[in-house]
Amino acid sequence: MKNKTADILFCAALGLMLVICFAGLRRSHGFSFYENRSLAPRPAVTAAALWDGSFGEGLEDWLTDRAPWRETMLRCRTAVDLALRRPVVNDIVPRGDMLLAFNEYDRDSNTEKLEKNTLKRAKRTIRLARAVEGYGGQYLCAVLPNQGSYYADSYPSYLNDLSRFRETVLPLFRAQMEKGGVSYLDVGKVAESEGHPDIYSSRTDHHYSMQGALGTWEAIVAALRAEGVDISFDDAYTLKTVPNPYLGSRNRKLMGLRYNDEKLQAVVFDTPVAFERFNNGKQAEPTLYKQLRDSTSPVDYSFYMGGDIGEVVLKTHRPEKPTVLIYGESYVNALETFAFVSCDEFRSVDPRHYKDMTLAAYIKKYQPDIVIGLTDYTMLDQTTGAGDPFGETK
Amino acid sequence: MVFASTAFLLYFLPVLLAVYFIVPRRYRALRNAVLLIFSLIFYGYGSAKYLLLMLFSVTANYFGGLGAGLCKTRAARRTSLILAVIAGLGSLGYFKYAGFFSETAHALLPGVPVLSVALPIGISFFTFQGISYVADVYRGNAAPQKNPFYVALYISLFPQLIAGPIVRYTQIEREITDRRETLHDFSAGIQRFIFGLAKKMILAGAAGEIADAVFGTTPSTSLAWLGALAYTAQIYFDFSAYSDMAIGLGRIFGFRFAENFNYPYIARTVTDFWRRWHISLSSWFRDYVYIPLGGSRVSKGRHILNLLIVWSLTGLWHGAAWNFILWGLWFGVILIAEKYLWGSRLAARPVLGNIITMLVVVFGWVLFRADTVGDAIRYLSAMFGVGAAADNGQSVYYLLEYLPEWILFILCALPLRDVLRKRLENTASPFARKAAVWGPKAAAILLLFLSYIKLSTGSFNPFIYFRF
Repeated sequence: MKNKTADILFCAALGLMLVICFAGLRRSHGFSFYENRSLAPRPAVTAAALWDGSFGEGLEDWLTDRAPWRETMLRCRTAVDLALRRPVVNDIVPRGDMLLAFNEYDRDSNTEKLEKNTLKRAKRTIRLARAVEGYGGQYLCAVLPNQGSYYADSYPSYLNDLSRFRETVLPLFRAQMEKGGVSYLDVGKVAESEGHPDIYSSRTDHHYSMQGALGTWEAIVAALRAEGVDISFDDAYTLKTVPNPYLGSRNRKLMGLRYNDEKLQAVVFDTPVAFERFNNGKQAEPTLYKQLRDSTSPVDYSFYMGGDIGEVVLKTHRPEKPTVLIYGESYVNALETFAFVSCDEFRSVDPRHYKDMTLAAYIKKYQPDIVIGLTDYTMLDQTTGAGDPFGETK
Repeated sequence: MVFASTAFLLYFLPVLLAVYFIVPRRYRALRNAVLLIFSLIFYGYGSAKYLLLMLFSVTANYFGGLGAGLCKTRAARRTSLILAVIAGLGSLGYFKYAGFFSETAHALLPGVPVLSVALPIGISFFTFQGISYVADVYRGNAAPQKNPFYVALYISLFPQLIAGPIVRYTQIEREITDRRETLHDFSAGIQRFIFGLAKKMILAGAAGEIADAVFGTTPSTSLAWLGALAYTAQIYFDFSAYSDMAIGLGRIFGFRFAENFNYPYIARTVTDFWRRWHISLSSWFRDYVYIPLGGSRVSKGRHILNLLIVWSLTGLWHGAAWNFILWGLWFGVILIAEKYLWGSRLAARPVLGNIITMLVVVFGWVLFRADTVGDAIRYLSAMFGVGAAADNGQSVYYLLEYLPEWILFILCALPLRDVLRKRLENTASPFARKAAVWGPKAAAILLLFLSYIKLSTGSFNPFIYFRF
């Protein structure tokens, strides 16, 4: 129906929307914190790119990544999806105060491929253990449940809780370790024996909690001592709660919109142990936790050790203690904030970020007394990073 | 460039509107020049090299039209038409079908090399538009356009350039030189565009996420049905969205494009479905292929042959693969059966007719969506439990995850909006009349906001019909 006033007001409203839209145009820093990814780069204007259309494609990606109010829109979208009570929002499965990962249905559908990759990783682990034993060291393979595995019962029945993955991979890997004579510790079993306490795993982050990290280290020390290794973890400590709101990785994917009262914790020893710290070979501040500006800004798991770093060395200069290398993904970060007190020299290598040499070459070079491979269940079929200690995967 | 993109919505369209409407209405040629230049930028944005193909199409059809309309002898006019058709179908044949035919030939004669030719966006649409122009001039339905820039504008006009609707020259012949842009048309055009945009971003996008995920796996029976239904929703909301946007954009600039969809999923028969689906293509084939072949005014056997020819060509137009031809023939056979066997009985039972029609359509879309005939057969078999994977909960997930969208798929496939609008407009209540005026505008603003949320937070999302 024709109505001139309505048409004018409608067009004016659209014009206003456009103005508001461009008022939200900001200079971008090239990184999206909540998505944890780099934004698309600006495409170069070249004759070839214009000719074949790649400029247009690149420009669209660049513009979309820098669309006005994009972060606000991401919040809106997430809020709408949460309000609609979708089972999965931004790849997260919200279940009460628990935030779990969405697992693709084909993640564990190819059993043959899972077994093949698990066997490959197991063989490499055995080779690495032999190399460590070759110079007189002790190797321990420690596997732990990731958050989704720890709370697998919380998944609704129609979502993939990776039970088939675990049923395929874990027994196979364990059997290979036993067959190869490699010391093997399943931290999940230890937790089961303690009644599967909730405090061991975060509810809003894919890592374990500080209690989980402590329990893991205690289990590792016990396993090593059972092998006759002289290592201990008996320094008195208290757990200090970090007052800042904790932005777990799951909640980060939800733009921090899911309320939770989880807090990070830090280990404070009654008698502090002095140490030197080296990051990627360079001396760094002897700190174990990220320095927080205030007690109100959100803090994430990178609070521990400052996040993922290729190589961290903590030296306590106590030669009576063993030298230890622990390699794996970011689970190591929380653990090393206290585990170093058991050691003369504590090395951690994150093979996803450390590129100077292969893990095997690193071990050969430093020959630590103890080498610990720490990984979560879902990584046992991965043949890159920690699953490729000899640099064989192309 | 696509309509549902940041580049188009935030930059291209506002700049075009500003430049176009700054030019006073009396300078029609200048406004047309602005439209032509922006249309070429719109097309060249995807790849500048295809602008050459566009220029070739414009040149061939311009001279074809002149020859078909101005040559003195019938034979010369006919020759002009044939040459223009050869130029159009020749380029379409090379860019779209060379790979397919060489692949087929290679399968029969392994010595034949397989060609790999990139498909220029929208070539099927602008080729058919060009052919219809020359054919209409040849038939005397339109006067030959002597200004080559107007032929260029007709063929490259950006709203319908790459995904239709197929606009006949006779429909916009007068509007090219003598049209009137009004505030009401501008407002109504933008509303139509926004409704199309929302359809694309909110409905087609969600349906596509489901369909893409399901068609990429070996599904369980329930999942196979869910995927087929999702694709049924996707292709309708995607394609009709593009038509809505094209019609809306055309209206902003004073062009009236014919409707391309009329709620096809409420059809009672497959014949009815094809009167409601991609109307511009169906009528193109009717006017330029079916009727010249003799239409239905021939023997029964010849009529059946005509229908099979038209529908295999319709299938081939949609894609250079055997499954598209099979898809066309599937509808051809059903239409023949409706014509000669059960059509009238089906039309008399609306609910049953709609269910059977939708089953035919859904099976057809499986043929259409599958990459190969083998994939289509495997998928259809899975729908009937043959070779299906075990149920792993995925169908429940897709049902619950997209529950709001599933509800909207059903509601938006029904003509509820039209019914509501008519009721509001025909009632005497002042409130209802105000609602009829303000309701669509308020809805458009809300939908624009929701679409922008999707657009600014989603990844690049090309339209399905671009491959045609």
